Amino acid sequence: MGVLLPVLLPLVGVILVVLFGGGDRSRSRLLASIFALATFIVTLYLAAALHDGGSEALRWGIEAAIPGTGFVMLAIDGLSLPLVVLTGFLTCLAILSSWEVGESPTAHHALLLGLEAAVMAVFLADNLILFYVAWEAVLIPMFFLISVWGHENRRAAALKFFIYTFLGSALMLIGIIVLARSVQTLTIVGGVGAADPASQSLVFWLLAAGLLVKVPVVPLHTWLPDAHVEAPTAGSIMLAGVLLKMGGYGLLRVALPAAPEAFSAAAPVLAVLGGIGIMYGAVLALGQSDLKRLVAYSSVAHMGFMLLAISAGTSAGIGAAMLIMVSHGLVSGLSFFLVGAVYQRTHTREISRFGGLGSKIPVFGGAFVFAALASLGLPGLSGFPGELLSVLEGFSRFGWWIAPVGVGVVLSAAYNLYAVRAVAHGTLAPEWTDIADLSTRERIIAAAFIVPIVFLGLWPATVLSLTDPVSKVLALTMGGGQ
Amino acid sequence: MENVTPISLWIPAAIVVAGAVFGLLADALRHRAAGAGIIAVSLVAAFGVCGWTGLTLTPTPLLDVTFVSGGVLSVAASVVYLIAALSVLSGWRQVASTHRGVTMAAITAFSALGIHVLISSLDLLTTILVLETIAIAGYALVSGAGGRRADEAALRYFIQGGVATGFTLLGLAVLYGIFGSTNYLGLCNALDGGSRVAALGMVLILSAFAFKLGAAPFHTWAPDVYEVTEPATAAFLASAPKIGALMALLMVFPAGLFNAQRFPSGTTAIAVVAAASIVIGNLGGLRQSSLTRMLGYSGVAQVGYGLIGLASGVIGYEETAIFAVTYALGVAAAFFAVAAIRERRPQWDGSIAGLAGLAAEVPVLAVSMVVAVLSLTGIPLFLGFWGKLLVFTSAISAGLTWLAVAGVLGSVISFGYYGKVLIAMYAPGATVAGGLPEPSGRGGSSASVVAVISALLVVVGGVGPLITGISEVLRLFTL
Repeated sequence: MGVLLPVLLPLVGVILVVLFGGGDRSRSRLLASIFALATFIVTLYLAAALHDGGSEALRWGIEAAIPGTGFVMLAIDGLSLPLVVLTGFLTCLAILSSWEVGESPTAHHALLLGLEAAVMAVFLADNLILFYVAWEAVLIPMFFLISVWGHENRRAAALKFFIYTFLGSALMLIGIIVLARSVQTLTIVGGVGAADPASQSLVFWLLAAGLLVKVPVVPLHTWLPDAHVEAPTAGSIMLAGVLLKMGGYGLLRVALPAAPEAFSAAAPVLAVLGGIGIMYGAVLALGQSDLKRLVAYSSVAHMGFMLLAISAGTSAGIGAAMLIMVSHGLVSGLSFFLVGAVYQRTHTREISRFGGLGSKIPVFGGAFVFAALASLGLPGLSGFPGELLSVLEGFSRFGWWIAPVGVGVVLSAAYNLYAVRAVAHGTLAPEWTDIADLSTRERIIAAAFIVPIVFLGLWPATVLSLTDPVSKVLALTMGGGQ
Repeated sequence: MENVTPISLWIPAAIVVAGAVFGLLADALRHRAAGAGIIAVSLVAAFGVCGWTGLTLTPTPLLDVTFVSGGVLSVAASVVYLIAALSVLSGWRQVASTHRGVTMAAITAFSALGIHVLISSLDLLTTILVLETIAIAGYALVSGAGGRRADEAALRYFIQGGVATGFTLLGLAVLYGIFGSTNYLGLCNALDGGSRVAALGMVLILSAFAFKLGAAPFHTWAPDVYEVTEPATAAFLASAPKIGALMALLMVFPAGLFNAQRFPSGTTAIAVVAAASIVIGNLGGLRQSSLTRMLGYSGVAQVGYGLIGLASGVIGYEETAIFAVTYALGVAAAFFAVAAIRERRPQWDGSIAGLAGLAAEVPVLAVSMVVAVLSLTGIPLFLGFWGKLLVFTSAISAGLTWLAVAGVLGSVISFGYYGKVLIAMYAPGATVAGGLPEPSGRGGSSASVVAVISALLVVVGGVGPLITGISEVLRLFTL
């Protein structure tokens, strides 16, 4: 039953917010934050339960009248737990960061909770149909969050976001149907056997179409910068922090067990796509004049590392991918939150108009520098262990072929330091002389991001020990050994 | 059970005929509201009887195998009656206050009855007779909107329908002339797959059905008709006849008259028509600025998805039936929302852009429209998803993966125009010409209530199978 709560609680929250929010901001946000917090606490409880249970997957489901035909089948194990906790955590912060939302606060908070429920259902689904249903359901609240609360070009961006991801997931649906017909089961966790060898590569690439759009890999990424730039801050936090993780999670949870041989065969392609993402994302980030777009392209680069780690196909690689996903969820969440905070004060995201903010508003400046350092992979912060492990595993699998990734690492330092120099350092532009520093609420949010970033940087084993049992099994399925 | 089976066909038919006749009588005696009420109640009763018999009786042939009724056929018929009843209720303001309104309600009831008979028919002659009944009712319903544009659309519909009728009659003449029977069973025994004459008959009859369904390339009447008809009536015209025609095609094609073993070319023809409808409907939909015209083009594409199920042969039987029902409820919900919006904003020009500000003005109608549109797109949590999932699954099972891929790609394109509706409704309303629109209707008008009820049906039907499992749904439809 505990496994159901991360999906059920936000849904109950949606209903209560809609019924009792009544368009009133303080009532809506209070109700929403209570339910988001309760959901987060439940995810921590699940972590404890999973830890006590010796990493055996926890399951819950509604038995249909005919056994084996029910769709509401949930499970949680070491692979989903870190992302479930991350989702619970980021939803709390997303609601907190849109505390002052002006337009229809009731609908805004209800949609955020609805989004949380849908994402939780993706990570917890133990049934291919439920997985797909949840996957698509994520689009609905996100579409409205962007198209109603976003910035200038929000409507076009929302439509593009929806159609792009729908295109991928529609092909994924065909993949799921072909897979389900081949393996004669819909169970996912520990259940999806491999499809028959003849159809494996068809199944894999159909699934990958949906998963890789979501990651996103270059050249399927073009929806991401638009969606990010136009989305409201809470939407950006959820989009970068949680939604992008669905792609990596789906690769590990569904595509790999369903088509291990095709996955192995595709590994070099995935590695190349990852490498392109690392470099292309970094180069484009460096070339941006819009601060939010810069952060958005950095996500493409980070997800490139994640894909590289997965393509190594080893247990350590899969662990590294999970670590990168969790770390990126926190770091990009912090970055988008800070960009949103500065946009709220200046109504611009134009990098060239900033400068000297570090001395004028030191708390913001400090947090901004911290986010940039975390993003470039400073040792001691959460970005470092995952990306290091990713490059190491990539090297042991593909040898010197991955050398160009080194360029990407250097570029990532370059664009992050460029952002720091342009925003925090230099002389203060006269137009921002009476800009206010982060409020107490904003300081709490920033601190809430910073603490786990440092913690994971120092003790990455917290995530790795959770994912280890599952990643060993996955690596064995693929014949990747350690 | 054998002797109670007839109630699944005769009882609802008798109820509806009686209701329509008494309704018209009451109208003639100037008791308009009572007349419309009688018609609505008879439709609801027919819905109840058909629903109940559908769930309890297996399909059984009647009258020397001229009809078959029960099971999936009755479930489909019950949905037809339900939509007809909702259509009468949605237009209640006109129905209950004008002479024409009651007449239109009666015509809707007769049309629903015709569709029920069409679904149950096992004889080509009966099929053609009821197809004509439905078509004539359709012409009347279209021109009933009044005005020159409605007359023009009705006339075009009538002329094109006349050509289709000609095809059907020619097909019937060929088959009856050569094989000496109009009954499906009789024809089935006599037909020879290699015969060119039989193939000619098949093509003629398929063309006629393609016209009735609004499938490409016989679709050009659909957008005009949907645009000019009163939205409450269009809700019925756009949904119920499609259930009828798809169900009737299921009797004729995959398993019946022109079954896939003897007429493989029939399956190919259906697959081609399906693909063409998906392409033409979706591309046509992208270009429309009028909401109801867009729904007309999208209906062409949706028929294409239904034909995918039909092309899958016997495997796709239940799937096609479920798709027909899910599409019908989805599109009816969309038109009921249009009817409610029209009542709320009489000066609305019917354009998608003209929906601006609706979400702020009447959130509940905007949400109803969101539900309908997402269901038509085939997004999970809404009824339309299950229909599409099942037809695509049956296509893949039948080895027609390319057709399933065409279907999902079509669905993706369709969001290009369905999404515009969502975006428009949630855009700020400042763009409405002449300042703030004055709401003319009261909050709880019957059109709004029907819009909300139909949207609720779509949501319940979309979420329910997740909990009960799809096998429960399939069991409802198992022949």
